[in-house]
Amino acid sequence: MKRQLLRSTRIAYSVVLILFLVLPSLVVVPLAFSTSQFLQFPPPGYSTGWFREFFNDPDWVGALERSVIVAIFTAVISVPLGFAAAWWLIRAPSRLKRPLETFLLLPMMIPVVVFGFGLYVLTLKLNFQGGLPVVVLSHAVLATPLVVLTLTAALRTFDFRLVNASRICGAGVGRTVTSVVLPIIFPALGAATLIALMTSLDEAVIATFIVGDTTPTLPVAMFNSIT
Amino acid sequence: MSIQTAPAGTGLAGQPATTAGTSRPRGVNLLVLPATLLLLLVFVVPAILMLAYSVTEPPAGLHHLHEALTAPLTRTILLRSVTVAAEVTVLSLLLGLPFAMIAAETSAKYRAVLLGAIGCTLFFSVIVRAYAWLALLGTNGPVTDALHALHLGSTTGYAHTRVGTIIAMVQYGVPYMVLAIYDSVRRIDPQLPKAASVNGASAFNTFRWVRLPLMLPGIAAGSIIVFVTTLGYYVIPQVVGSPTDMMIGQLISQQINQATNWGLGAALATLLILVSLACFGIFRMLTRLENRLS
Repeated sequence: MKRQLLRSTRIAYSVVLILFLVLPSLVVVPLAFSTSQFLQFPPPGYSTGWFREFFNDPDWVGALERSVIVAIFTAVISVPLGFAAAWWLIRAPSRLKRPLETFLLLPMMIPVVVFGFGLYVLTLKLNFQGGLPVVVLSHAVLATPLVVLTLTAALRTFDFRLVNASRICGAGVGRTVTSVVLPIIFPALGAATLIALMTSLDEAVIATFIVGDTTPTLPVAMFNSIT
Repeated sequence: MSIQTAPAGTGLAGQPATTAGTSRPRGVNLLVLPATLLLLLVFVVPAILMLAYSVTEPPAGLHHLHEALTAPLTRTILLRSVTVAAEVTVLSLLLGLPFAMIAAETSAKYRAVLLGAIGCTLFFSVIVRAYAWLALLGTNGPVTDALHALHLGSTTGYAHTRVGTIIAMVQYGVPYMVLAIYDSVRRIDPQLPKAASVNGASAFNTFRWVRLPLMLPGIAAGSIIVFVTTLGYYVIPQVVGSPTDMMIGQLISQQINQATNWGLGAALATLLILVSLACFGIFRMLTRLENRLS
């Protein structure tokens, strides 16, 4: 009886906490179909008017396009770089391993406001109107530590003798990577890519500093319209 | 994969994962170069430039750092940021700790659901979440109405208040706390708590003297992640919080964009970097100490 009670309390607690973590974010779905001009929940009525407005407004569609492009380039840069670094961290017998590992995780420890400010100052100092490419590079910096963490975790259980076997059988480095390594760590690679895309798609602070007034990305445009 | 080559305990910080008969192509050492270069050029150079600005912007010297630490406005905001970050950390810990323990002790199936849900929330957009809280906590929002019906809380709601910021930041912090603590809970040998209770320890004593000490590394890791993230966070306090109740991230941004007082902005950013790095430094020292002791 007592054990039963304990068990139900545990389940109830974990369900309530998950609802607290998940439900509030889902509120935006009904809000998107609201007929109201104002932020009102529950909405007074439902329509697809806001979607029509979004897709008919070149500013919003442009922001969406820019965001998607920036996110794709962020993943294209950070995933290969992070993969190479993760491979090195697992394989290289070097004294540099520990300090470099800390170094590669550094962007996670510094608030983005500080990073964005520094980058903004640098572009002004160099008189370099970087625009979206600078945003891509900054997002790649933010994504790299997450990619490294995801892929080192995957490579830790990877059997490196398979690489030897492939090489002994005559496969080149490229062939070994594409037909032995990548298929095995594919799930982790997919996860890392997803994380890199999300990191970029949700980043508003640095993008505001660099392209806030000229070519805002979607989170920047959203942020500006909320605040 | 049935073949296991990585020796037990081989981690990033451990000994090199050498396996008998593995040759290492020389090119391997170049692999870390591209990521390192990217970070150096795009991250380290701007950071150093900014640190330099805190002392080189006229009036040069320690003027800006002194102002950041002593001017009434900046002092209030620094103290407020530390207080809010501490409150968010404690609340996330109180909510996350039981959850991590439940996740570790439940059946594999239910555990997958619990941790899967936690993992999912990490992918939710922060801006969207902040916006959602604004709707929920507003004057006519459902949370406000519910609290009012229970004769709790204010009728005007918690949008644009510090309570709103704390609620939204806790929602952001709990998943990180849970994942950090879960990582240390799952390493606890299940025999240990059992041994304690067989020997007559009460449930509370087993928790206090067996489980809690073993969970401390995870608790420390989670608390530091949540504290440092909250301390410098910009988006959530800016959207959900009040403009008169600014946090340090907002102050930095304001000094740059509106006040164009780069010296003070850089000095505040320098302080924020120092505090963040100090927190992680302390954490690394603690884990190293712990490894040596065990």
